[in-house]
Amino acid sequence: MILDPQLCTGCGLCLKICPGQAISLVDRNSLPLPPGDAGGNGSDAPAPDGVKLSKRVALIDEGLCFECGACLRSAVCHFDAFREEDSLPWPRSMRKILSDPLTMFEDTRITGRGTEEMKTNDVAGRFVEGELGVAIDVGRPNVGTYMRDVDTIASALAKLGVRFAKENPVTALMDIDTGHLSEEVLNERVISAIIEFFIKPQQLPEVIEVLREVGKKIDTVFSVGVISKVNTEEGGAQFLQEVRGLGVEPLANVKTNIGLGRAK
Amino acid sequence: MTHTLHRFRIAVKPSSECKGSEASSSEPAVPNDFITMVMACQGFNQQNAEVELRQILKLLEKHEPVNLADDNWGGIYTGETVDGIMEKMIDTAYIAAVFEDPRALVAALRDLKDADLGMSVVVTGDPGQIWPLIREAGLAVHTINVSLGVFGNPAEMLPEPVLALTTMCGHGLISPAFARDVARRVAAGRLDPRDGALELASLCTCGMFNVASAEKILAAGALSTDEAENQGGMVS
Repeated sequence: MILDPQLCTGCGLCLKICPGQAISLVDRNSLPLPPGDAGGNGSDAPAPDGVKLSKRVALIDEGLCFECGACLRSAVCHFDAFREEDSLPWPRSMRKILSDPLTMFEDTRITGRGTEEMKTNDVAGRFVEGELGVAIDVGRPNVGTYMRDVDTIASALAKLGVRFAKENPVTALMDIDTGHLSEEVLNERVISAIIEFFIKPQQLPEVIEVLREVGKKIDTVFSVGVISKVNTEEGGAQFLQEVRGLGVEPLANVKTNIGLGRAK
Repeated sequence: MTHTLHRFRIAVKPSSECKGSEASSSEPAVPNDFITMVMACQGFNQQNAEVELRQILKLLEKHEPVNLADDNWGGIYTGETVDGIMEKMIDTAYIAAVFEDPRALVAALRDLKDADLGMSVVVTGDPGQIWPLIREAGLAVHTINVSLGVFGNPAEMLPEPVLALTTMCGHGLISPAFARDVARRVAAGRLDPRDGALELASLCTCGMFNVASAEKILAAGALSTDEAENQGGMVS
């Protein structure tokens, strides 16, 4: 995201909008001048005719920015100081793919961060009896994550022999044998990234144990979802009971596919 | 995607300012929050699925959801209209409709069943509430996704009243700072709870944000406590 200091009045309204806490107010005189563009976009640029530039100005910390677009879409800036770059270079583009829900990941043709997972299981049969799906949503809720923390979690899970889901943006960056991500993305920061994989039901206790341990080694939080084809309400209740038996209290919130889909 | 799965819900005292509050009870209650999502399945029924999905959007609109959107473009509180969503709709459309009224949810599910358009439908909510409603609509539980909660660094966890607002946008686009700012303005009497809910909803492009729940949370002053201002939540 680009914030034009010439248009910014330093009102500070955008600070609270940013999910990444990437915007701060600084002294206009402290703004760095872009290389090779002295005076073109920085602190000593001439003000547009008739405009008195404010002493303070908002500055985006590029390291913290998720490229989610919330600042731009919110229209919080009355002077249109925010604009997006035409295209982001790799690997920075990873931030937008995983943080801006209006961006489509071309490999999956899905806007958002994961796959169709259980939402179309009535049609695709992706999840079968005798197998569970697990989705680790790293950075959720409202913390965000560097991809290096995603790498730490995925590589710990890979040691358990889990089968990572295809057609997922994180899997696409991964060596599926080791769970390690491509090094070039490790310092990218995103709102959240979803590690999706399949396991046998008997593996769930060790997966939970690994997640508790690896959770001590990272700087963020992650939300965990488990998918099961249960076929009936009774089957669902039994599965919830089994989860409680592992010492985990599920949130009182369950996504439920109700079996209305069918192939054409 | 898991964007309706990890919602935090809190009990709040009913406020007379909120439409739909039960005047007969002053006991705290968790606001009703039922989310339906409809989509085609890639490789099986997605080709030209915009035809069926347009019918479904109109069908859901009839039951007056508290939010309605297509994940690809945004929703009725992010500057889109139902007609605009219909016009732009493509085969990868991902329709979301949020209901507060359980009767409206049952009626909408019955209509979806009767329409028999072959698209996948997911309902998210408290299983103690939604499973009986699904059964009442003549439908059955097929596959479930269960949230095991939050793991990781507990120092990073936000208080539950804040999460109750921010996690209604499953993509994390509502910042905790903005949720607190809106709550403070409501508590100070400078912003109507309904308008506060709409401000927050304007950032949720997928349309999963429940404006009715948010209005109740804001009206109850749930974020105005010391705990909400200062303390974090728990990890699993």
